[in-house]
Amino acid sequence: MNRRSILEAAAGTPRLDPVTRRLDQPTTRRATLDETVAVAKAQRGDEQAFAELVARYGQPILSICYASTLDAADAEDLAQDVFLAAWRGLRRFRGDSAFSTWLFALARNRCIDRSRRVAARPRLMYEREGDRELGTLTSPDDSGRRTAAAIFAAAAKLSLPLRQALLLRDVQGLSYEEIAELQAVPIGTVRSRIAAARAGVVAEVSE
Amino acid sequence: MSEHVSDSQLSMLIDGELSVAARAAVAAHIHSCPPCAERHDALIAVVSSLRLEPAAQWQAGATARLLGRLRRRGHDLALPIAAALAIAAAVLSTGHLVVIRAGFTLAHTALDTLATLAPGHLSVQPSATVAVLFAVAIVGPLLSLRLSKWR
Repeated sequence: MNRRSILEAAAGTPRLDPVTRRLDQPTTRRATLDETVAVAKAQRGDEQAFAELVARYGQPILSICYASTLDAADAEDLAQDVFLAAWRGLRRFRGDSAFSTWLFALARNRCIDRSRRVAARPRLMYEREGDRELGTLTSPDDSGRRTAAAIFAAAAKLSLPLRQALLLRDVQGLSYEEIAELQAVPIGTVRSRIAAARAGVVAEVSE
Repeated sequence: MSEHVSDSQLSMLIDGELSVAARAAVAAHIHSCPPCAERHDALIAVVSSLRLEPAAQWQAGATARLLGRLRRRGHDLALPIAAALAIAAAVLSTGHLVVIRAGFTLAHTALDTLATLAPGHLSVQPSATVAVLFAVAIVGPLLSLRLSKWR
């Protein structure tokens, strides 16, 4: 399957109406919680309080980790490492910033460290369930999977910030505001990153 | 509008981030510009494909696994720390016995043994011996803690 036909195959997938349809995937939601109390308890070693924080921030942390690794299993391992590091370093958190700001910065740094050690190995979610290898085209589903695999492979070649912005938006379904908070950049930067990432992927699969 | 729409404008059009007026202008240009229409279609294809992918979801089981790892780390540290403290307690007790020369034959024998084992048969001061062993007892648990963090 040549690269040009990848886009043609993708064009056969359900199209979004860019004028009338907005993103309707669920974005991360935060339950009401007295976070200051939970953080203080966790700093004193209260595992249950820390579990509440993990339950609250598990999804955004996993999202940025998946957007970095492109592999769900690696993403969960990385997210667990982030929370373990947070548990060990929680006593150093002085409350100068919001707990989420501190935690997201920890996650970003872990993603950067990992990307320096290991190249992103894109593996689509359904590939974990032992799907058959992509071989000759036998059904429309195969075409879609090849397309998705090619797009993920192109995304893996992007720089980490662009890759994160793209996956956070188009796979994890986060809003521009949520991505800006996770990446600690202005919304305008998020828009630029997403646009550049999408154009980069198109260019890669069109070659 | 410039000759062609930018990647940013196309991206914002897809995400519904343009104002009504801007959206109408971009849409009108796309309809009349084949190269921009092709770029638009290519972006739609990529975005559509990505949005069909299931999002990674944090499950309740992941929180439980994390807590399990936290507790295992605590157990991993407890044993070496307890062993080090026990050794330190035994060493300090022995050190006190050595220092307090109150007719304890064992203490004198230990001192004599240490003196003969020391290089050049130098006499070994009991207080120096205790100090060295005490330092080891303190450094040992600290090293254990540090090595555990490196895991």
